[in-house]
Amino acid sequence: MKIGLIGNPNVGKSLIFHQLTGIGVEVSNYPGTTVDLFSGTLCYRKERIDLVDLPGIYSLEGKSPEEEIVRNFITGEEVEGLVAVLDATHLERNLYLLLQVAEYKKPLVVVLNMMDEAEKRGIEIDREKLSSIIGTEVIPVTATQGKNVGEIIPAILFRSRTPDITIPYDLHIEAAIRTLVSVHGISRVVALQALQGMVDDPGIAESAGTLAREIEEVHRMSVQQIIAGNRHRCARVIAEKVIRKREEVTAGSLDTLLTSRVWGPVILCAVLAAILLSVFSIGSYLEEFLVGSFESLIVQPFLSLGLEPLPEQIGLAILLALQAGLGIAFPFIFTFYIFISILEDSGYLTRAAFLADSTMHRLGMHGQGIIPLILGFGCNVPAIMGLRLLRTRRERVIASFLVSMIPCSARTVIIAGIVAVFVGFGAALSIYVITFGLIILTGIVLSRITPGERYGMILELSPLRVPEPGNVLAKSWYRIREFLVIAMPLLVAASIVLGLLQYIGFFSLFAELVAPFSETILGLPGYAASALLFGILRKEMALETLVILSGTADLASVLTAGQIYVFAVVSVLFIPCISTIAVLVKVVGARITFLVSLYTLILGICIGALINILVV
Amino acid sequence: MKTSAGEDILEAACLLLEKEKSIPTVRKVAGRLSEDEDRVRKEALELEKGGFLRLEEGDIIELSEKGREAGLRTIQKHTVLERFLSEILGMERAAASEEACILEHDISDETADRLEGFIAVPRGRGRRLQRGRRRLLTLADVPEGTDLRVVTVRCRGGYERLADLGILPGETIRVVHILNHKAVVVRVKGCDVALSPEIASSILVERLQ
Ligand SMILES: Nc1nc2c(ncn2[C@@H]2O[C@H](COP(=O)(O)OP(=O)(O)OP(=O)(O)O)[C@@H](O)[C@H]2O)c(=O)[nH]1
Ligand SMILES: [Mg+2]
Repeated sequence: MKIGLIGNPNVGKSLIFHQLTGIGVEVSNYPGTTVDLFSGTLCYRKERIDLVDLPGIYSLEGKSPEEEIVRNFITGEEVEGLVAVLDATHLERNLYLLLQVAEYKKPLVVVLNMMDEAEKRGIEIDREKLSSIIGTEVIPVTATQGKNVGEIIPAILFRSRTPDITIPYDLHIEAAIRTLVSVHGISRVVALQALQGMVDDPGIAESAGTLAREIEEVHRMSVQQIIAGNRHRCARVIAEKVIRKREEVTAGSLDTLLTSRVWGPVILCAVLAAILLSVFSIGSYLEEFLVGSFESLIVQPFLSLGLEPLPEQIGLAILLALQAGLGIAFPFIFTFYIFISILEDSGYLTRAAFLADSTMHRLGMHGQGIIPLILGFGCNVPAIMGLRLLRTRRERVIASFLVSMIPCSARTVIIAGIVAVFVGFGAALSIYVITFGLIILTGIVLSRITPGERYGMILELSPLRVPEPGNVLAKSWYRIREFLVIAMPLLVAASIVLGLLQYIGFFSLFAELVAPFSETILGLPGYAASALLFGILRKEMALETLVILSGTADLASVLTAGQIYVFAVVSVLFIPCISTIAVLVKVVGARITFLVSLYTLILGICIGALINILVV
Repeated sequence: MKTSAGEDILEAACLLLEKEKSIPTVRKVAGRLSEDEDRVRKEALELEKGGFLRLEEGDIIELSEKGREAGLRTIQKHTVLERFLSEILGMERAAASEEACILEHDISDETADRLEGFIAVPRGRGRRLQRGRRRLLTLADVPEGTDLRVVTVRCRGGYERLADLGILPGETIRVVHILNHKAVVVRVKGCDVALSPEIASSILVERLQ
């Protein structure tokens, strides 16, 4: 049995999905967290249920990709029921979508989520009345506390009903629907879509077009606007009937401060800078501690065993991989994820988008584009997935370039792990300055040369909330788990292979081959250039490979400060990692992915060479 | 006959004369148009033959009455097109201006006049409500905390989301925040929605008493 979770963005669908299936999906406090279908199975009294988490939408009749995904899903044959999730604090607006969903005549259960916040605001909803108006069961839920979530599945299995509410449309629209239904034998829903120019069949489209033009002539409004107006009116009437107490929402003083003309932008910059600095200091503190204890407790005793050269080489390779992975990469990546999760759950990201709108216009996007850019600091992969939220291909193309250049936590590992430690704090920050400068320049140039249409920002601000520590930790854990189960084994395996290759002298051969190139252009020894290549697999592997190939975690003893700096700059800038390339292909296509890779490759080498000439 | 390059010269000379109150010369005009001076001089000589202007000592361009009229006309077409593209079609100002530079040479006087009339008076319900008003109020023009009724939503195509969120003619909304560059947050149906300036300035509103 296939069931879909449908509703406006940011109403808690993914959280309910997670609680019902136990699958860790992204739950964040901004609209558009989920951009694709996500399905999971659960069993209830021997009944197997495929539950599908859908992207949040405002309408079933829009043209944006997520609206199309959801429309295709619910018109599919195999869907046997829908759980409509509504935000009890914004009932009227949420009813607008529910009324549209009701037109599709699928078995339905309505969930009123966020009951805790509704209560706090003194909103009382008459559930019986709502239930009798819509003609389905209405379940009050507080997903964060898991309250009543267990009722959803039995309700949809045994008590779901087809809603029996119909929206009274304007007389002309109703007449047009009747004409279309009787002439073409289509359903009411399809007739409505045809009037809004959404049906491909040329015959239907033509007669619907004629009718629509006549209606627009009389009303002097577009058919979409008339239909939307009718639905909003119907939603308001229902809301007025069922909401017993309604208080006027006022913007909190915190919100006023965060979005004020003067302080807003200052706070935005301060927040981002504070996050970077805290990750730096907390990460390096942990790193020092972990690497130090690892060295004295494990590596030194191992070396003093005095094994044969081959086992010693392999053993050392494994230990170095563990040391670099757990000791250097883990502290930075984990701290970063915690901060990003806090930011996502606080609701601040949408305010950042509002504040950054004019700046983002200069970079060829609109405010919403800043959300993937900020998420990119954690990891480029989910950030690029989030690009689907941008409405035009032009914006997605520009953003794909910029996001791929954002120093993600793996690149922070390189910057903080070697530059800050061996060269200096100022030098580490200067890499950020260089990267941001290049990102801005790239954005300005791309916004001039990229063809395509432009749209402005229409973005619902998510409510400000104190992030739940549980959700923050769980989310960071899911993300870091990916690092532990995928990256660490890869790292150890690669490390063993590297150790063997080094043992048989392969690397000195390869290093000799690339040495002339890397030494003249970048001023780096051959093995550092091989390490750079490994950075394409995973960014932090550039560092780990460098440690393995040079045979020590104390890089200052084998490389000069200038060399370390150039190494870091090049590995931060050049070619996104393999997983980023894979999602880029999915989101913007192979051609743009190729261009992004080529551009960053050239950029990395050029800037590296430039620094080598100028500074070193 | 005047060419589009010729029209550009008349337009630039007119702008210099009327807006900046400076005497147009071949150099200044070439500077405005980012064109080669020799090319401008050659075009200007052609225009001189048509009686649009006279090239005086020191490359000064002296517009004739006919030349001035043609220049003003082109300026008007440019402004109308730019407003149409940005306010009604929702294009960004800069892009709209560039596009207007190309289109201004090809549209007829009648089309320009009709477009101007169309922009000045919005369609539909707005026509009745707005009659007799000199300036139209948009979302970008009101201070924070004002309650408003939406009169017309001028942007079409790609902006259905506005209607889905409840920003459509007849609905009441309130401006909650407004930034210096006119990005606004409006409260509609209890939800706060952030809008880019180009969208805010294409939503016509009236104050609620
Ligand atoms: N206070 C409160 N917060 C909730 C409740 N349910 C969900 N949330 C929060 O609401 C936010 C949005 O939750 P999600 O599950 O990501 O929402 P979604 O509907 O999947 O959103 P999209 O994927 O963007 O469509 C998260 O920050 C949740 O923690 C609730 O019952 N009470
Ligand atoms: Mg979701």
